[in-house]
Amino acid sequence: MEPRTEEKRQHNARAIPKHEKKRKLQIVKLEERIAPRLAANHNETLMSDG
Amino acid sequence: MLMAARRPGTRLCWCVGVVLTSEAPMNATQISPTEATPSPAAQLYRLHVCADLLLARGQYRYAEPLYRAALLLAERMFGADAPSTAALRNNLAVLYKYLGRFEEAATLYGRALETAVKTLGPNHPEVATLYHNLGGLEHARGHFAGGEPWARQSVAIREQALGPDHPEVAADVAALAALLDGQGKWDEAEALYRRALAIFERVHGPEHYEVAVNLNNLAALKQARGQLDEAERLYRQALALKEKLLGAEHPDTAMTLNNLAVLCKQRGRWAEARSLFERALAIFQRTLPGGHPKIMTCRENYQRLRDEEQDSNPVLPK
Repeated sequence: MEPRTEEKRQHNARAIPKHEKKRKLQIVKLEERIAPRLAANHNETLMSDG
Repeated sequence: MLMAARRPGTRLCWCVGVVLTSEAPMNATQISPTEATPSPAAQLYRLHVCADLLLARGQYRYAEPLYRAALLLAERMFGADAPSTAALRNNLAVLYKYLGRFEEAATLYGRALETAVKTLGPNHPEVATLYHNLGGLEHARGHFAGGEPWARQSVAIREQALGPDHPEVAADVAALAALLDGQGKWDEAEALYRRALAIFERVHGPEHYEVAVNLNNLAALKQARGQLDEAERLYRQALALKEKLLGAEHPDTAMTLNNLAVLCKQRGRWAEARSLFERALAIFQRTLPGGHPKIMTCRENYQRLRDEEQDSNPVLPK
């Protein structure tokens, strides 16, 4: 039974994706995180019965 | 803390330390405190998100104090000439355009453009948005030829940056089309409306606000060209979409109601025209400040119909 437990532990260790281990903190500037997006207006036709 | 129950049909928005529910028209009395002291960054984020939402819902008078507060906060946090501060100036200017406060809008756009060109460079897509909006301001003023160069610049910059089939390019193309339409350059305008519509329908599907606006404009162009069957079909399509997407009380819905009323009158269906004008005018009067150009246009259209009804049947009450 012992060897089987060891084998299972090794299998779990290998299952962790590589990118999980390599993940680094990213610095995002405050202004970029809360920045408002520029709104665009619409040119809509209003008919006059003139 | 969440103050409102989550149930179907209820949309929640966290804003300035408040919760807003969207079951009924949003107004200041629905705001209730939920947080003690949000950070300045959280306050700014919530202010502009909420103001954008109110602008989109056509609740213009409630959006102004939020944009103004967000602008003051951004000036303090990032400085008067930061891109975010410029974006808020732009968004407040868009609101002023919809409120008919054109001079204030022009001042804010000018300042935002100066900052955007200085900080982002002259060919940045954000600069194109400001050109788009400056063209839109001229459109709202009825200065169609004056707006055309702004719109052409926005198309050129954004097309270069994003390619010809991007929905933001389509928005610039549609804005240019409206300026050409206003000058009677109908062939080019129609081709551009159709180009924009094809992109919007491909990207967003047939039920989208951009599609509705362009159907309304294409209908108006068809009406001006005397193609009344096609115009009516397009107006009804635009109206159904707007009622579904924006609601029956939105000022943009009232635009199409007014236009369809003009068409009905032109086709001799005066009773239908009267009812549509009355609906449009009531919405404009509820949502826009007194003396707004859209109220004036709609009221003049309605009064002209009443006068003609009176002339053709003098026993009718005035």
